[in-house]
Amino acid sequence: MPRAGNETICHVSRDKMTDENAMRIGAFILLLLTACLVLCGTPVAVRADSTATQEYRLKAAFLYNFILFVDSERLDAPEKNAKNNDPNRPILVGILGKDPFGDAFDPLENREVRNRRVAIQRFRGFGEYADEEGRLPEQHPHLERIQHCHVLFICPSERQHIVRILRPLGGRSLLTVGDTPGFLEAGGIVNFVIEDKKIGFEINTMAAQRARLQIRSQLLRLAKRIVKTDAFQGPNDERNDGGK
Amino acid sequence: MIPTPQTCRIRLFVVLCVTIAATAGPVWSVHSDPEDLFEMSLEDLMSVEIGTVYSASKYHQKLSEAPSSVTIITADEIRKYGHRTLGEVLRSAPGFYTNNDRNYEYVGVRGFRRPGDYDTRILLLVDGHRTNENVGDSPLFGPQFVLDVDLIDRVEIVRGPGSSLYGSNALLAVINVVTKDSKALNGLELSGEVASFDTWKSRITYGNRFDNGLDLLVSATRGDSEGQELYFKEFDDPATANGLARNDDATLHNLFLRASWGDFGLIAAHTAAEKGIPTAPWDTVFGDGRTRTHDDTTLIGLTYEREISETLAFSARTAYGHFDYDGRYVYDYSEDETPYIVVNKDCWRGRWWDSELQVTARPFEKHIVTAGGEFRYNIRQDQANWDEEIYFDDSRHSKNWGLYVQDEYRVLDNVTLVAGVRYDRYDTFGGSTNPRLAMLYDLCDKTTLKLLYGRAFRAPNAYELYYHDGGYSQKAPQGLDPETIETYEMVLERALAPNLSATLSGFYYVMDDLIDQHEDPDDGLLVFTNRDKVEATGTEVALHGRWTSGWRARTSYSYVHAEDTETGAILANSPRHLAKLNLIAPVLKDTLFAGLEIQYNGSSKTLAGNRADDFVLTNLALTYRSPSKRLEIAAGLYNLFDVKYGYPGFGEHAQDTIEQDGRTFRIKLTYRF
Repeated sequence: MPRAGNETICHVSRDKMTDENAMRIGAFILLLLTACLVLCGTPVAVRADSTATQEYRLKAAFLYNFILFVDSERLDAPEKNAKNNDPNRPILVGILGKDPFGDAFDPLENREVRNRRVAIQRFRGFGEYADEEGRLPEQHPHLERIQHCHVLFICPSERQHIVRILRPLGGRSLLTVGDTPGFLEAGGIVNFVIEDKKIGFEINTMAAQRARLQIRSQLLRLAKRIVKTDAFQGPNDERNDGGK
Repeated sequence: MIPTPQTCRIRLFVVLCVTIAATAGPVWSVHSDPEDLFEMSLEDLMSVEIGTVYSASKYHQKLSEAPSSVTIITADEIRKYGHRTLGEVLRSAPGFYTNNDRNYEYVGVRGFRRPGDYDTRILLLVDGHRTNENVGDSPLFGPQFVLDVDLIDRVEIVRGPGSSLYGSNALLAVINVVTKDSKALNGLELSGEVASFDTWKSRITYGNRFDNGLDLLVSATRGDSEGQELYFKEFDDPATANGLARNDDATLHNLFLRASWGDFGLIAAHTAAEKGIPTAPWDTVFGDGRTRTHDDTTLIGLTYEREISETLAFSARTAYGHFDYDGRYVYDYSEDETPYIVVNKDCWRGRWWDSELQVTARPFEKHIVTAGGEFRYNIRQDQANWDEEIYFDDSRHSKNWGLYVQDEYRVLDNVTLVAGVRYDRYDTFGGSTNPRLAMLYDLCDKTTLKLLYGRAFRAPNAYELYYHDGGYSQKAPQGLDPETIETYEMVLERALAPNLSATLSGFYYVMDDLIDQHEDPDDGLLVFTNRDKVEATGTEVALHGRWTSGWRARTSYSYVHAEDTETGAILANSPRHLAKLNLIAPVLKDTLFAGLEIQYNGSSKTLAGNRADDFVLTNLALTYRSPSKRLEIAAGLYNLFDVKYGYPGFGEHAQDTIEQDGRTFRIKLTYRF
């Protein structure tokens, strides 16, 4: 009859199956061990901290590129009015919140960007400064040090505190980079997005202007979205098709 | 439990895994050089995909965090390799192989696809909606698949049992096909192709994201093929045209719509495919063009996904499925000089509603909990067979439901446990409980070890439960139990460099109570029973690399030994060795790419106990896309070296092996407005 399944198994005598099994298991173990050795390589220094995911290794590389494509007085030359007027003063990249980068910035520490070293400064998340009743301080206890950074990455852990973090930075010439939906609308300058499993970014040009940052066209062209939101005016957003 | 060689093997396996996990973790640690990421341009950085997968846990997660062995194949690869059917896409994945009986395309996984089974142990989803029809449970992988392959955004292949989340059919693999939306196409696209044997296909697709937020993609495809003249030595007789058949023709219609608006998503897909059957199965008249099948599938699915808070997400989906199968089989009952030709008609009518609610929550910091329920109502599960009289006419409806919960618990920074269980209840046989346990261990820098245990089931389907031919040769069983699989698997994943990753896995599985047709000794009639038990052990090694220059490579080798536990016999159509290489090479930067596929398929046993020879299949495709990305010209040569090869035939075939196509070509032109 049509479509009547006729599933038959071919019969073959069962000879020396046990030996074969033993050999198979042996071969299997050997293969696994070899593979483990090959895959894991020789022992190298053990790291205690967790290592970064591929996503944050990429985002670290993005941050490095942002430094290249954003101009400001502070980035171009060491601040002339700073007390510590050292031409070797590094470009400071602040990471605020639960750091997802792990060791992703390690290769950058020995590298020069705009003829200057890069140094990473990590700040604890806003939520960690809540008092016993859960009340949060008005501003980050290390605000002054944060203001000294050239780039500030605000981790996804700070999702609920973004406005509180950004507001006191308003007048500073500092590139704020977020990793949270709504970051630009809250006054941030650059925000990471993931589209199609690929990392992209969006830019708030109005916020950049306020921070006296010139974003080069190479960066603007690649932005997935350009937003012109002033914290005090209505939003005005447009889809950026320049790069497509 | 009495220790058998199998349980010993399992124990050895577990001990080995634990030893490796315990010793390897703290000692081995290697730093590949991530510095080159800082050398990459922004454009390149933006083109790197961070692999995530939905199917393994029903929420988006990174590949290395999925509690399964997973392969993802993207639209870009499908295009550059010139794949023409979903079967061809799957054939490039580790452990997968295909069969083609010149009527349907079938897919085998890890040594299992017995001649004659309808791939009922693979669950095929489109955007999360089940597509296995509800009469015979079969997914369709050939041209009968509900989508044009050009509309596939990516295929997520999750090996191993998936019943703890998906219920029935998820024994060997869960395959989720994700469709394209307007991100893939903004505007109008026309595509036309011509291929060997007078094969033509054309497609029109329009995609747009409107200002009001509506994201829309609509598409229509039609195709037809004259087919080739085929020679079958089994019919080499003057009475049967010296073995030459001219009824290999096919036609195809596809319609597709995908819309999303806010939290809502809608897909509607329809395929009608017809195929002449040149192999003269079931003792039909050889070479008669009236012997053909028509399959008509429609799937309409609505989803709603909402993130209620940072720690709580909710999703709901409902789908209506519609499947019609009509087979025409020509028989010659002529006696002496009296011609007597009869067209036997065989049909299935399946209609179903399938609804699911799911919640994903992070109630505590280190837990991700997924819980949900699914309800399926089979409105129609009808079968009929008739010619001048009705042999069989059966109408059924049934329902089943399932409840599931899964917890992903990050025990330590580098250790995650995943435990899940699903209970399913069927009208037909009662309940089935299927757990899954997984441990994911980040052994050393960028190396993940996954230890996986899972159980899955397949409910007996309407065809197996009710089909009979009035006591002529086949009767319906008194009742059937579900068949089950239990698997133990170890997967080692390692990022060798930012661009290169390696996977090694070893697996052992036991399938029990397999539903099969056997002769009842009491009355000599064929009847489906839960009888066979199959065991398999195997390993897979795979390497996967992608470079920003445009190079991409995938290579894998799989070994599997699958046998019938009772008799010790090796399964039919179970190639022990599979090896594959897939390579994309940029010939001209960003415009011209070459895609090369080399697949080695080991020999396998046929139903008659002979062997279908091993073979190496080579496919080469060239894809040119103009710098403006409007025009695309693709040319493919399949079976480049004109290798003669065949797949084992099924019980209904006179052919012990069915020979496949020699060298064929396809040229495809696509233009975007």
